[in-house]
Amino acid sequence: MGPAELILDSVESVRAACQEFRGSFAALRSEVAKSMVGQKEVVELTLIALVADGHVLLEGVPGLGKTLLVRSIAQSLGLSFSRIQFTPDLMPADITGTTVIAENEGHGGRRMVFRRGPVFAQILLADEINRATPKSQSALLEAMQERTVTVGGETMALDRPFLVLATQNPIEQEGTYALPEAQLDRFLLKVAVGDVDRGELTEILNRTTGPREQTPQCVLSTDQIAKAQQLARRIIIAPHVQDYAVRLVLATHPQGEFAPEGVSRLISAGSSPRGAQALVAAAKVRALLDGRHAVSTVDVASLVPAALRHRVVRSFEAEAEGITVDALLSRILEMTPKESQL
Amino acid sequence: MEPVRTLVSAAQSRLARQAFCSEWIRALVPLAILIAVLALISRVVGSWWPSMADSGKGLPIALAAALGLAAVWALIAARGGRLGALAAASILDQRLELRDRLSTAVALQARTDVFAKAAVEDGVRCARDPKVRERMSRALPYCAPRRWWIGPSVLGLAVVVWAFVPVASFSKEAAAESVALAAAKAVSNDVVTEVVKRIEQSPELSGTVAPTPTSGDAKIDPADEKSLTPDDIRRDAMRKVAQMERKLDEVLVGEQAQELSALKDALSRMDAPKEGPGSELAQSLKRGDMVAAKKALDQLKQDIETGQLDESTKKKLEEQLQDLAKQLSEAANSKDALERALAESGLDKNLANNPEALKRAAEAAKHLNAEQREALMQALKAQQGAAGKCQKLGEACGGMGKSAGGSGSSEDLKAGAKGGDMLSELESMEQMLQSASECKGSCTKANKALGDGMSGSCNGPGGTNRGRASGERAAPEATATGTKLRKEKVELQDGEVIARQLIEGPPVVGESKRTLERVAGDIGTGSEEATDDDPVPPRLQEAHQHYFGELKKRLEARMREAAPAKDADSAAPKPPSPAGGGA
Repeated sequence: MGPAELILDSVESVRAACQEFRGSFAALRSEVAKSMVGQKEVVELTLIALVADGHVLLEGVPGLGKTLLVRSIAQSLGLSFSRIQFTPDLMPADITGTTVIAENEGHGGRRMVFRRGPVFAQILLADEINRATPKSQSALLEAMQERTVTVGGETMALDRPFLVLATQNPIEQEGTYALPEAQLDRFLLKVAVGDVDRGELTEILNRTTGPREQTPQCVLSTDQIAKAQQLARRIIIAPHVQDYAVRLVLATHPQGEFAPEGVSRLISAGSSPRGAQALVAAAKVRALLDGRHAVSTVDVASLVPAALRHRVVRSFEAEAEGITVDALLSRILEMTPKESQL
Repeated sequence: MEPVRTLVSAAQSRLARQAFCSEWIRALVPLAILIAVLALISRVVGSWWPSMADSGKGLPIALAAALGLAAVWALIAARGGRLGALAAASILDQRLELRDRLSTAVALQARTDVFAKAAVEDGVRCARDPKVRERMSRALPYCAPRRWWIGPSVLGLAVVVWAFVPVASFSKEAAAESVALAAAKAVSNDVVTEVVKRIEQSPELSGTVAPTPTSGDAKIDPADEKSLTPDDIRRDAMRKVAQMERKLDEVLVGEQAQELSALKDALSRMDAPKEGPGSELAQSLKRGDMVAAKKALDQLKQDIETGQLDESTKKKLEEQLQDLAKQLSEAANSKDALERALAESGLDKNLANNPEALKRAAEAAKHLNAEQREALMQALKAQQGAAGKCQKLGEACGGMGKSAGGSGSSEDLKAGAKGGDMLSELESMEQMLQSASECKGSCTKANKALGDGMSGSCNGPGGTNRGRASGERAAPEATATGTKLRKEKVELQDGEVIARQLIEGPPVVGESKRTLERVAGDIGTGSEEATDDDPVPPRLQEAHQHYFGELKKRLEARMREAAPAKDADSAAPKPPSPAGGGA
């Protein structure tokens, strides 16, 4: 049985639903903040991805609270949570599950029984995903895209909402495997987890080394999440704003019509259409959070780094010059006019 | 939605105006560069193309054309590039940081779903915000485009070049031309100034003859001064001098001149005594020497007043002066000059005795034109003036005579003094006419000097022998053509000249065998036909008839003489004479 249909038949009901969403989101954010210190942008982007029904790749050095964040969100949402610690010897079956022989207790016969893997959860923490081999990494592909798992010829649907929150260490570290492009493309956003500042670190110490840690409480039900997702999808994006998103995505294509001069040679592969989808979907949630009923170019622009940084492949030249993807995207943002071109 | 539309419309207008200004300034740059190039070219080619170098004409036209063209271009560009409502709203959103509320409202205004309506309402609420309206003018300011100063600067440079930089002269011809121009100006100025100075020496002439600043038939337009040639300068000076010469002519043949001439003519016919105390005065008057006459009159007056004369001399003087007075009175009645003028005009010379009748006759005479009538009237006036002066001179002499004889009163002596004044007046008139004559001579010389310097003269630069005033025939000069003379080798053959044969036919050679009768007939017929084809002018008809009539008579007479001889020949045959039947 699916979630209840969101019925909005008047402007007032729309306003009320949006208001309610913002209240819920604020509550969720404050609940997460009980255990997660700082990293507000990371928290917000993660929650945006949740509302946009997408997955998030969190990248940062170990110890920045990535796992804590995911656990806190799972606790705040009251969703089933599982964690996979990706290691080089992890097998795909360790993720999806495996079929075992089981004895019938009544008449002593034997039968094949499928034992579900950790992927059968609503929030899946794929910790240090780049430490596993590409074969194991790709075990998540179907689950992330189709929200189904096929084992032994049988396809099983995953419970909704289904959110994969993967963390990875920067690829320049020892013992890591770069995620394949197809895998990366499945993530709605890639969020860079930055270092904490002095105040935040002090607060972390106070909370974690004290007598008792605060545990987040569930503030949002599954139905509410589903309604929030429906609401976000119905947010309007005007044609010229959508065109801006399209131009931004096409600007990442080296030979594209909108590729700014000087940027083309630094990119070897641009974003796929999934990048544009991710950009618009996330921008809708941001517009909703900002109390608007339509997406603006500012929403789109603010989400460009998170939505496109894992979809753009730098050229050898850019790597040699030490130009990061974020720098390239900043240049694209600067050189793509926000004014309507229609 | 109306507030959004109003706001966006205002933004559109501001953006359109801004676009017009930007395009105008942008379009001005190439046009300004073009004008600057033209200005430079005009300085270079100005010596060959004066109208282009003329900043008074070309520059305003070029500037107006540039500004106008730029405005037209800007108008077209601004109209063509006028932003739509969505684009204008989008710009406004970005400048005012409205998070695309206005543009979204414009884009979604036609949609009916609730989220679209909510988005449109957001836009409307935003447009109603007074702060937004207030910020709009600041967000869309009228500002000059980048490097706006290039166009005006280049334009200013072009104006400076055009107006202040002199026209360059790269050729020797142009330099020589400018030197010749300066020389012509100097010469013309000198010549005209000299003539004017000469005229101004005579106070009577300076008022009537000397040129005024407004005089002159055709003055040189200052705007065309740059395009003048040395010949134009000389021609203008010649025009001025000729004008003065014409006025001098008018003085020399005017009323005063005629009057003086008539007076002298009358005086010259007097019978002046060769001896005696009054002979000097009489002789001077007869000669028409007014200076000497005045001197003699003054001397006589002084002698009479001082009483230095003895009785016999006094008596003799009285007689001579009375006689002179009588002759002068008779001379006053002389109307020879007027009678001559009447006769030349085809009028009765007796009209000279009746001025009123003369006037009526002159007005009634249809064969006289206005100028001739005026000349007659002038002659009448001159005659009357001369008669008056003779009369007064006669009275003066009479008075002096009486005073010399001792029978005169003080009034008679005063009359003698008046005669002196009259002579002074005539003397100054004579001097004026003398000056006018000399000035005319100066004018003629000046015009000749100016004419000699012109390019048609042999003295002028690049001149030819045309216009030589010496009367010699100019040596023919070869015309510069591309024709080359070369001698061809031909074989000469005997025979008739081909051209003559073609025109006249083979020449008739040998003895004529035509009879005189036939020749006479041909002459008569030919003359009649010729007269029919081309009528003889009336003045030649008589001569024509006489010539051919005489010829016919002589031929007939000759034939009559030949006929008996022929008869005799036929009776007794003789060898034929070569002249017998020839013409």
